[in-house]
Amino acid sequence: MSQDDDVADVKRVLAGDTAAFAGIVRRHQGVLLAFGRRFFPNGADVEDFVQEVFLQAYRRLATFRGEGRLRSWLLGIAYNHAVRIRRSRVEYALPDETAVEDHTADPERTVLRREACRTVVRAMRRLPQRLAACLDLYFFFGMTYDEISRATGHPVNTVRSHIRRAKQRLRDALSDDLLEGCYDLS
Amino acid sequence: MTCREALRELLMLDADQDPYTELAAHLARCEQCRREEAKLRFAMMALRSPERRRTDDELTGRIMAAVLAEPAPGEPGTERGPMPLRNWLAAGVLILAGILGLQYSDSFEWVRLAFGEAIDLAMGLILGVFLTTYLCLLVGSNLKRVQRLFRPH
Repeated sequence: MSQDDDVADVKRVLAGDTAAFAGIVRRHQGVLLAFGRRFFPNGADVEDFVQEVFLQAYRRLATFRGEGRLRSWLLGIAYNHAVRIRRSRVEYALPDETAVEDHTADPERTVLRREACRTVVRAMRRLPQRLAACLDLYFFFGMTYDEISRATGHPVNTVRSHIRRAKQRLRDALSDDLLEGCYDLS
Repeated sequence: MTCREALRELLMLDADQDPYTELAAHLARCEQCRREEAKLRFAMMALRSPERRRTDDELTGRIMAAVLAEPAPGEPGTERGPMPLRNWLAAGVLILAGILGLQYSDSFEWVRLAFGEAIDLAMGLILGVFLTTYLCLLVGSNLKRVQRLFRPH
């Protein structure tokens, strides 16, 4: 998945080649489906949500300046859309261990992944839902502090300090033995 | 830089951010901190789910069908939805009521007394500019509807 492909497709769409938007949809629907599942338990609702996010992104495409990553820009739209439509009944579903399971990975990596996931989820449980979403966007969706701050409206220092604490817990929870079984740490 | 400071900085690093010069220099000479850095990096790598790369052609098709029904991005009315025709008509009725009401109102009597009959011409011009602007905005904002209205069958 390349940022260059995204920027090229955005330019083509803005120049009138609407079909180029399909490339953006293919590259980013997975991440948006995963994010949508945090807010909607029903699969059909998640797909409707993803469709609406892509439609909003298409309408606002001219405002994407290519300075940041398109994936983070889309996640920002998704976060705000989800919060807006679930305002009255925000129930942020925490990621479960199976959601981050890689069936192609060896068993040791699966154990590591589960343990890391459990630790971050435990840290998320201690926070109000909107701050928990910041941890989710950082650890599971790879957004940066600035991107999370822009998307959620939380001050960047608040985002950074909560994530730092969660990282500290992650570091404490994962034993060296477990990691050594998966990777060469030297 | 001490190991304690290095660990604090490691915890502050952003997603996918490489250690900056001073931290990188410390990591190069301290095996314990290098292990800490690797530990955090691998733990965070493990959390990124591979299932997000999956694509669903049916969903892509559905999204693209909806996208193709939209006006191109950057065209008027794509940033937010166009104002409903009902609102335009309500605004038009209010303007018309205002113009008609002026004829029966004595509010401008003192202006007429001060400036003479010439004020009628000035008022007519102002109203004309106002109405023209309203009509231009109405047609401009509903160009697609107007085109459909005058399209030969």
